[in-house]
Amino acid sequence: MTITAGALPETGPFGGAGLPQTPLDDEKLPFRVRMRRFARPQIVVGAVVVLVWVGVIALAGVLAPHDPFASSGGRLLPPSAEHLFGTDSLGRDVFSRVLHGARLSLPIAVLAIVLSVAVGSVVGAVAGFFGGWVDAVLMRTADITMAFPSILLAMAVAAALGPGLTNAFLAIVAVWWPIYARLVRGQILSIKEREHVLAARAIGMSRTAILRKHVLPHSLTPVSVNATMDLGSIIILVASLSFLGLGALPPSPEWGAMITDGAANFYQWWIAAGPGIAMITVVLAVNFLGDGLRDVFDVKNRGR
Amino acid sequence: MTDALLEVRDLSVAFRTDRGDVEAVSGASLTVHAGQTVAVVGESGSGKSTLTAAVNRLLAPNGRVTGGSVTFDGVDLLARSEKQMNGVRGKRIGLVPQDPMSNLNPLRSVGSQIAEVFTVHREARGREAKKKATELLERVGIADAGRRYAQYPHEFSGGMRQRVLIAMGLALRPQLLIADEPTSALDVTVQKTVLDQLAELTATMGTAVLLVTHDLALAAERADHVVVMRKGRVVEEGSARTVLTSPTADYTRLLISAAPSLATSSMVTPPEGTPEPIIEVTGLRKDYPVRTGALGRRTPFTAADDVTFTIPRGTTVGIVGESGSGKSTVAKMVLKLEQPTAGELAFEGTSVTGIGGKELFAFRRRVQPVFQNPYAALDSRYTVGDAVREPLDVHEVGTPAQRRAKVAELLQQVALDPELARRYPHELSGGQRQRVAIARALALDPDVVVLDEAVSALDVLVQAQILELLVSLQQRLGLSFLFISHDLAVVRMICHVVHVMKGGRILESGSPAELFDHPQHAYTQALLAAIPVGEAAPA
Repeated sequence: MTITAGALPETGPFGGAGLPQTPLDDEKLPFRVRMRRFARPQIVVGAVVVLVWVGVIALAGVLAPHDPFASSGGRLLPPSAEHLFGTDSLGRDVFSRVLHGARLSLPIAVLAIVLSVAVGSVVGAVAGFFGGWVDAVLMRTADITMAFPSILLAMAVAAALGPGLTNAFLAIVAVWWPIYARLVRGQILSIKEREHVLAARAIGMSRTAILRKHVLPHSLTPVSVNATMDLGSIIILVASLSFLGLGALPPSPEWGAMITDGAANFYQWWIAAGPGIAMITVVLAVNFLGDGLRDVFDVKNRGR
Repeated sequence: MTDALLEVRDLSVAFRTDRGDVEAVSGASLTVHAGQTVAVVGESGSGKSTLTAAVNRLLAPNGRVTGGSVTFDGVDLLARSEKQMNGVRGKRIGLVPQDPMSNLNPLRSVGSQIAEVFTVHREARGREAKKKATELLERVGIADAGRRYAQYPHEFSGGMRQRVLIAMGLALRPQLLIADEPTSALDVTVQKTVLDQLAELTATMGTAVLLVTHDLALAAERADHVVVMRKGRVVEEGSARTVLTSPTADYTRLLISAAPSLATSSMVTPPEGTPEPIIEVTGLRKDYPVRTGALGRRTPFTAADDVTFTIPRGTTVGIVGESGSGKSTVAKMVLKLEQPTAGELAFEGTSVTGIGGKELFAFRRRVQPVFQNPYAALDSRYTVGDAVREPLDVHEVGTPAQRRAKVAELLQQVALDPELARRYPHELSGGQRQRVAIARALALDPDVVVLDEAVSALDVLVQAQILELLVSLQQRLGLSFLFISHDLAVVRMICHVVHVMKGGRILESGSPAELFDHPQHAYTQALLAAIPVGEAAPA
């Protein structure tokens, strides 16, 4: 048996000479070696910032110096040592409200993306795998849904069910799932032609079992990378809906709602700047993370 | 002898990977004289492509030269700046890449891509570049070059695209042309005409050729000088004739003996008596709907038509043909992965053409496939043991403990260590994976195994081992094989009966001896004539 040692990546730009060279070592890659792939500045910075925010969500009550709902001194005070981000029109400490706001904005965004991925993956997988009229019906539904502006749909939901964070969340899922349906469907279409799927059909495995065991798991990597990259957009969308009065309502410290308050007091810039800065750091961090993960999982970038 | 045109001395190349540096080329040397053709031969992973990529400094970004020198026409190429290299690449060292499908820009006309070679190197512009490109198209044997100039790559066949790439490589009359597996993606008859064209052009231009190939016979037929590489080292070099007829390195001897040729004797003995047919295929036809025209009208494309043959129990029936001949479609219909448009398929005398449900489930146990690509045939997320056990699970054979024992037995049957059951496919070599795929196909004790190009992706030494395994499995288990391949030499070694397919139809059938020694059909004759036999054509 001839076994070529070592893992050579594509051996050059000569049209990717032959079959992919793959690791043939006796042991599976040690955990530490596999983790080294993730040691990119983008990922490390992104992960640290995200972890800080997770800490904030867990400990907002302890970390916040003031009650986010009660006046803690004068109204519209500029930033100071006592009030890092100043106070708003009702005299509430903006810094404390930003910390408490993280508890609303971030989990809602994560939940919205998780639910969108779940719905979208199932629809996309069924459409791609079974094809025919099932595919046509599901994907045209997705197309129609995607054509609705998210704000309009959120307004419709708010009009029907009343404004509130839960309804904003439902509106986001309603407009976001088709993105994942399309992504997963595309993945499935290429995966289902692979030889290992043919082999599974040839042993008489049922179609749903093949989809579940041999097709769907292979589409999860691009989906999770995309979900991370979309998280930033969703955080902004949640805030936008609240800003327009379609999501969280006063006195909630949701970031978008706080920016509404800032817009009313235009010359007290710190009221909008507090939640704005918070949002920028979170969105930047998850975008870093998403970009970094995409680079790691993109085989073409291996070894760079 | 004149001075060397290209001199590679003790070249070492390493790639940076997740587990540290991996040396792909270790101290390799070779010399190319002006006008000479030198072939670099080796299996996948031997470093042959890396070596040539290092010559014109086109290594992947994680690769670097760790030692040695590359001297081209008296100049040290490794010391050149990237900008200076751009003046060398294309102009003085041409390149013909491997894959004609991915190396042309699909969004630009073929002619403009050739003309670009002239404009980039400021040799010609505008109308003059177009004129020169059209001339080149003619010279590489593309008829009606004026009209073809404006066409796009998808309008060209694989062989014609490779000619276009050759035209680009030779456009500026370089002193050296690097051809990296220039015909590996092409059918054997196309390969011959493309290589003939290449040889003729380089001879008239006086261009030296550095030919990279895995095919020793092809190298010997086309090159003056052959360099054999293994694991990054040069194990043997010499004139083509010497290397092929009296090799000194053990490895070269092994390669020569393992390479199937039309002179290799058959590995199988004819069956005793006349066994009854286990599979009977009668008038099988498969149409695929294809959209054509602006309105997307569906016109059928016939992939297989009026295919009739039988597989006698315990024998191997081969179907040979080039890409697009319909041979894989036939394999899928026999496996009941595709439903025939017309015709009959019978198993043990009973029609199975229209079966479904329980009957189909039972049929699946009796007929199993092994596919071409050992990298795609196993699900990368499951261990070898899971993959081999899966058919047993699906068909609920025995108790879980019995299934585990059966997996170990199956792995032993294909000469694999049962310990491998815990490994993942990416930890195995191509040959090991193909053994796993065979073990999996045997799990349900089938009567028939359909082998669709099952050894085509393997290196020649591994291929020889797998063929031996198949023959011994047939003898021990009384299996019947349907062996689909494009490789006539392999088919000759392993089959009892061979059918030649082209354009969806069987043209000619017979025993390998009849068919290969006295081919009746013109197409079979052309196929046989196109196979490189390893003898240098008289220069």
